[in-house]
Amino acid sequence: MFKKVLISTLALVSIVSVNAQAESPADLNDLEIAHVAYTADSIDIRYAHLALAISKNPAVREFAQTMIRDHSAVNDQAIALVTKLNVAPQDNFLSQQLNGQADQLVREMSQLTGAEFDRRYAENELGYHRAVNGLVAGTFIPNIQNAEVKALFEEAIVIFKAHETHAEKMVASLQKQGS
Amino acid sequence: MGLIVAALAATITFHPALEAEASEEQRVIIEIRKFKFVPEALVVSPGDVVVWKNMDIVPHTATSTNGGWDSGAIEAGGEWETVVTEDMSDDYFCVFHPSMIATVGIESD
Repeated sequence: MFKKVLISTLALVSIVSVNAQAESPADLNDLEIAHVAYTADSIDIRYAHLALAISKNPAVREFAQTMIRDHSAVNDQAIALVTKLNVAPQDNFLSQQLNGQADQLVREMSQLTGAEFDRRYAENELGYHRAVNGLVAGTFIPNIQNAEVKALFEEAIVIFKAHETHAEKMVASLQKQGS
Repeated sequence: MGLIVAALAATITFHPALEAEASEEQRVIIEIRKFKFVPEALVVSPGDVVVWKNMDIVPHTATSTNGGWDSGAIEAGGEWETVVTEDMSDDYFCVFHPSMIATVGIESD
């Protein structure tokens, strides 16, 4: 009997726990969105450090330095805000998914050198910024409840869109050099 | 007569337009806000002081496209100023974010 109750209780806890967890970006709360944003910034900083370690192309290196400078600044603002609000960002499925994809990509890009690395890095930066910007503008900003968090995201999306434009030009320039 | 002179003096002292004319050199502010130089086009005269104020949360630069002048990094919340020279007229941009472009034109006497 005790075993049966225990199994039922565990099953219930499991169901509740599954239901409480967001399964789509649109289901994330402000603290989970903040965690995703911090993670996405950190991943791009990680790619940039890889680029500085491998690339010798001045334009690629300049772009990478800008990514480190800007994404670090946004993360600093995010930390200041959550500290002020006395809250902690919450880990979630999307942050974990992004980190998993980044691990894989860093392993892949680490094997490349020269122009091959530059093209892969630039194309990834373009795709990554397009994807994250779409998510931030289309899902996160409309769903964020806290006005200060929303304001920070509205400021950040301007920065990230400029990065996307910069990445587009970098990709086009590298394609021209390679042709 | 004395009353008229006093009235004229008061008018000159407190009329802002006349005050601006009295000072030949101007201090002009360009705000860097939401990844734009505002205003994007500016006409100034040699001797004027142009100040770039960075209102964004990331650093920017104001850098001449022909390499004639360069602010270096203007930190978030920071500013950089320079005195306009006759050969300063140029397009300029942000080295960190090349899509940010603007122009400084020099007014000829």
